[in-house]
Amino acid sequence: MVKVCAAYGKKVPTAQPYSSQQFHASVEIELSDALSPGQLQARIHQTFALVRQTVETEIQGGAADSGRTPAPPSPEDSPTGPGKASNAQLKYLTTLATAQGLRLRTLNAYCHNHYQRESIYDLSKPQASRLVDLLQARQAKRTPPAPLERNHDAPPGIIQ
Amino acid sequence: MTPLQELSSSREHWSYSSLNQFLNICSLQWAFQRYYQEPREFVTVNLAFGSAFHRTLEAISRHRQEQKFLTEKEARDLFADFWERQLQTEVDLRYEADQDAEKLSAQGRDLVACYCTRLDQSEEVVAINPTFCVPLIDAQGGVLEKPLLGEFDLVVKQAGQPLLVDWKTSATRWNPGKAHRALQPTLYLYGYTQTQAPGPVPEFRYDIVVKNKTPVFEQHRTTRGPDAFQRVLEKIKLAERMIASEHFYPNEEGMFCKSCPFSGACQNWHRGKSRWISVAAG
Repeated sequence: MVKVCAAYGKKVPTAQPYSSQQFHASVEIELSDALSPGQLQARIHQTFALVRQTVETEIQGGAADSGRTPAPPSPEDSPTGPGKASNAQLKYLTTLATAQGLRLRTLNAYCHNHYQRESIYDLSKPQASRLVDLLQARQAKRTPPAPLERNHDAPPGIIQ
Repeated sequence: MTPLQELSSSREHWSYSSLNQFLNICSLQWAFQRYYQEPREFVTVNLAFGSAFHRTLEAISRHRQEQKFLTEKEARDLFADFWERQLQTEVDLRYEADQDAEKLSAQGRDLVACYCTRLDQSEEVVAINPTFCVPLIDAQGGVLEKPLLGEFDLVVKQAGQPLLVDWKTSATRWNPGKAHRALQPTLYLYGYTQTQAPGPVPEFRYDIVVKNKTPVFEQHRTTRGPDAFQRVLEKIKLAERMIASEHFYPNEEGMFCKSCPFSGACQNWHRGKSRWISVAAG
């Protein structure tokens, strides 16, 4: 059994100038050991999305009560666009890649070759999830990091 | 290449302008604009002027890319056109005491003419306004959640070597050491190296036109190394901790208050934070 705890918190401005109120929720679920890394990540993602959505709903309700609606996010702080891999997902992906000595250039070349996307930041959630699976599998095999340029000649589905 | 607008609206990110505002200009100004999302009290005309200047140099560079070189007059006319369009799209522009639209138009035309006459025509234009979006990774391999996003004004090649160029206008001549201390080359060279194969870090050059009565063209070159990249990473991590704790404070002795579009909010900022309590003796 695998235990997963998904938590989400956000600060929003209150009626008092330049102060904020924190909203936070966490949920713990148990998942089967039999799930593949990809399935596991998908379940974690779903759970996290649920927690985040719930917190956002609470914030909207709270804002209506206080008479102050949170301003729409600025471009700098806007949420991830619909369907695109989240920053948290890409942080994990990049952490895996960095631990294996893979650079952004290699990841971007893979995205271009296999998903016709320019960079990891253009990937959809499922595409990023598949790439995470691949990196996890690669890490499990403890493959020593290969020279960076070799990935251009790699067969489909394999990052070398 | 994904356009900057699309990149910047699709995910939370750090940018040079955001980090510069937080670390160098005023963390409270950063907070008013990007955290509390206070409305700006006005738009400084310098922003609109800078935008018209950049669009003109971008057009000049596109011609250079096709081995066409604009005459001084053509460059002047281009600026006049971009400036006119800029004035039509901006509202509530704030001019300084000695400024008006016509004076700025004349100044802008002089600046781009100066740039045009001082261009090194042997430089190969590689890319104009290419964007980048890269992870911020510290010395221990820790990845920050928000990526760094940016746009180079120009990438050229000199003697086969890439060179990143940023265009600036300036009220005064630059101190020779300024480029070596500046935040922008550190972030942009970090961004560039992240997208390239391992190799030497290229140079970064500011192409500056100084707004003297007779404009002056200056170039300042610099570069950075891994130590500078790690130093800036630590500063960004510190900034993130300050933001999480809402540690914002006014930088009142800087030169930026005069043109701050949040000065009203700033004047009232402390009043919601603390109260004077009179305590009678005895």
